[in-house]
Amino acid sequence: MNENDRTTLAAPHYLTLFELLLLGMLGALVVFANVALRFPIRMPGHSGIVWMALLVIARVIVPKHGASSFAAVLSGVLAALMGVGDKGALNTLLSYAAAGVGVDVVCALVRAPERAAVCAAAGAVGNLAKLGVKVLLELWIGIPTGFVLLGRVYPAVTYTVFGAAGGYLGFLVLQALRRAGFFAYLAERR
Amino acid sequence: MLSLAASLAVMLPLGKLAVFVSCFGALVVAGGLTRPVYDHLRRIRVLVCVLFALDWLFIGLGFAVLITLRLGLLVTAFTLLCATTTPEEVRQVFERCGMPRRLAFTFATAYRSLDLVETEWHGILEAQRARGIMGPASADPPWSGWRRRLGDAVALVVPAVVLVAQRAWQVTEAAAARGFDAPVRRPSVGPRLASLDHLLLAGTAGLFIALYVVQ
Repeated sequence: MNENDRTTLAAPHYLTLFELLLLGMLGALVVFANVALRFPIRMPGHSGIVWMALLVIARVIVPKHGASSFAAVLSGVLAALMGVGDKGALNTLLSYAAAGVGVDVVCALVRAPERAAVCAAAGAVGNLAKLGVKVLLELWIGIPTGFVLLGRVYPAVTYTVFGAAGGYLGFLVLQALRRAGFFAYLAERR
Repeated sequence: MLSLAASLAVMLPLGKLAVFVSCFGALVVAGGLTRPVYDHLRRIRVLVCVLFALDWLFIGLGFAVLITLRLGLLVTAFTLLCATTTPEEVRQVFERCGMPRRLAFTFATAYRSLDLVETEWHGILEAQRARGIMGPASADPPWSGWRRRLGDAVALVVPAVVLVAQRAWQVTEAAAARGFDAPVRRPSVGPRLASLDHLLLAGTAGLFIALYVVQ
């Protein structure tokens, strides 16, 4: 088999280069937005508003399973290397990845992930997955389960609320993008 | 691997963990990494103090010290990696470990785009402020300020996503023009491991085995 045959027989990739780069750029945007865009709220999990919005957007504009997870893992690696996060690089990497997986899982369970309720649910689950990683790491290092669970009741509520708000923000952004013809622009490039 | 080994060492009992933390601290000092490690520890000082007090109060001093050491080690373990490795080196390691070139390229592009994203973000912010969409938040009471910022976020994120997509398309075209996705490519030669790298890898492997045996 010569090289030309290999060219014609090469299997198409699951994600095109454009989709990979788009998700990579959105990952970079996630990292930057987490640092730059702060809401004046002193409650745990409020960073999930923009974070979950971007992950939901990533999953809808690249409508393939794992799109959100890919953007999340990439942003986690970038954030860890940049020293973002207050509990170390391992926590940062796993938190980012878990958030993406959470969004992907919810979007994989429904047919139309661009609906408002689905976006909000995906955001809530993604943000809760982030909290889940923190809880698991705390349990792993041996902090008594009672302390961990008691200390995480209030954050569980706020993470859910802010995650859902983030998912809804993602829905609003997607609506605005649709009105602006962004999806037609994307379709031309696929 | 050294950072991963340090993360796994949190499972050691107190005595052995104290020895490990001492060695880790010596390595941090010898490597001139005290500043980033101190910064990480400073960020969790409140959590550590509260946990230490609760653990001491309800369980005992030994347990409080154990949890504090474990938390400190977990938080700072990957500082060694992050403070000594550039993203370009990480990309090369990814490729050497067999990661597809497209993924490594995406990682490198995303990292290089951070500055661009920041520039464009500030540009969008200024443009929206000029249109009167974004205003100073400090003038508002906290709750209405928060609600307004949620609305402002839509005005910020929409152009940011569009600009990011345009940038991704430009890079895709540039890469395709250079034959990036062509099936026949000449392999690029990355940096070779030096003898010190081999020594460090062997030492880390030994540390892994030692931790496994001790555990």
